[in-house]
Amino acid sequence: METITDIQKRIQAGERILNIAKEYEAKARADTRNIFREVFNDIEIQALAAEELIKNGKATAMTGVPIAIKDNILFEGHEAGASSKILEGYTASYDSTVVSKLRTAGAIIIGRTNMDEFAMGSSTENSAYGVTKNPIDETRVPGGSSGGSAAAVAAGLAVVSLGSDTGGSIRQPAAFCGVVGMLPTYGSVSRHGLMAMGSSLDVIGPFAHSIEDARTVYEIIKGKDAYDSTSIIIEPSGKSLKKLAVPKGIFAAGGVDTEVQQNFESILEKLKGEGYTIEEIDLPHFKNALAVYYVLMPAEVSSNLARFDGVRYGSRVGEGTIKDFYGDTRGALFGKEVRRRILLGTYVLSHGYYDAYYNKAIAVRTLIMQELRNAFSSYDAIITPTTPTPAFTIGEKANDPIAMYLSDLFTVPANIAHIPGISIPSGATSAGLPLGVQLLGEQGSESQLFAIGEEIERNR
Amino acid sequence: MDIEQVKKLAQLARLEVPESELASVATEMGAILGFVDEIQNVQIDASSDVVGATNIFRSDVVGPIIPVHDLVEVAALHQDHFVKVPKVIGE
Repeated sequence: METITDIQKRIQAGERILNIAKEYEAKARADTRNIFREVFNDIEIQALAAEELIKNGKATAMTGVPIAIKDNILFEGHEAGASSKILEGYTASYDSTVVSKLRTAGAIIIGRTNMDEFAMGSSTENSAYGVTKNPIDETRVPGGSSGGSAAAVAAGLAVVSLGSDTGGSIRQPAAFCGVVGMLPTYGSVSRHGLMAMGSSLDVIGPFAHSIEDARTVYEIIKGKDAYDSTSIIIEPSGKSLKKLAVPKGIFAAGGVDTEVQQNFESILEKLKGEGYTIEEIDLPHFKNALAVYYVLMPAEVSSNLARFDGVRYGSRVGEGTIKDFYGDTRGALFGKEVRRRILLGTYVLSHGYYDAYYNKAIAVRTLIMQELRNAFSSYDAIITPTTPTPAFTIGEKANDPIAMYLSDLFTVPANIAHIPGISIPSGATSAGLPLGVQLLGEQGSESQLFAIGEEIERNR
Repeated sequence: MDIEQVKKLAQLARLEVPESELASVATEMGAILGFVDEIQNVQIDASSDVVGATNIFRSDVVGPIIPVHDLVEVAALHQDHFVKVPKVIGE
């Protein structure tokens, strides 16, 4: 598997970007695991533009690097569908800010990757175009919702990729596929041109083979953007106390695989060997984050997806008045999970339930935010396994929504608290399935997380 | 959650749910609401404002715009510079 540095070396050795790009295009086209929704037709044109950058002395670290993007990120003139039937045939009218930055940097965007429909799911089984198979074990899911982007990197079909993370949709598939996956601080990366799911939760971030590559992509895509008023300039933060915290009782609730726990403990031992102090910390509301998430996220989904009504984008089903075809279009073209979350969101926002659910969830969210912020006054980072289990088999949880939701147990708190997180490969089960550990830091502590992550990379 | 509630929500959400699915949707939503109910037991004494939320302003200046045609042509039905929809007034 090649890293960004490997690609740079090939280019420096005189190899044409065109050849590298064509090589990746051929590999992506030959894939049989349903990783890509589409491999783009203009890879050659992009490669020639990247060669021009080099000729003009304007090359960056990403120039000539093949990258894949999740199917909910807009690339002008290319189809984008969030793996949903309701957007079939939709072509982006403009570039998302992340794509625009990557193109300026000379990256080669080779295709768009499969995902759970509108990023709702943890396995890609909710894609309207079929599940993606995990490249490590094809009987298993790659995780989700950014499963295609994780698998593309794991299979070596792209050097790096972009996903979006609303409750774990980058970190969970990264752990399932054995790659690095990063959730940047909320607002640090522009979401202009990302199809919105939960606007108070969504963040775009990278998948990579190494922390170094994840950092390279993050440095290029981050920054305040006039087109996204929720974007911010990140004030770098983070301490070097060499102290990490483990939330007390995370294994007590059950449901955590024994091998996950053993692997996690072995990583903690290795970090102690590197001079880290590791302490248990009382975070009484950490465990409530998932319940808060399943109130706030559907509420935001029901609002954000109101725009898909058969009028402005994609296809229309049915005739008659708008009242008729709105319902017919949305009922026929949204998948089961999307419909479930829209109805749930409508419920928690409806008269009579708003205070009990939505407002209560907002209040508990505030409590979780405060609790986590307090924790970072005494610790560099919080460390947990990324997921309670390794990748599960295709179909295993497809008919049990709550079992599926629980795979995001450890990842959701970061989105609730607007803090950054990163999943780092930490080894494998006896059956060879990848495992990951997750680091969570205070807002703006990306550099700190990268540094601790590199210690884990060296010692796993 | 019962079938009548699901029908009412479907109407509010402009989302047709087939008759055959109403019962299973009601059961699944009931289970999820049962799961999220744990937040009712959390004691709240802090203010419920989202931490650090502030308004963001920008100057009102004309910038580059996407041509109307590019946005209209992705609509299901369109004519000239307009998205076509059935008559709404009088509904």
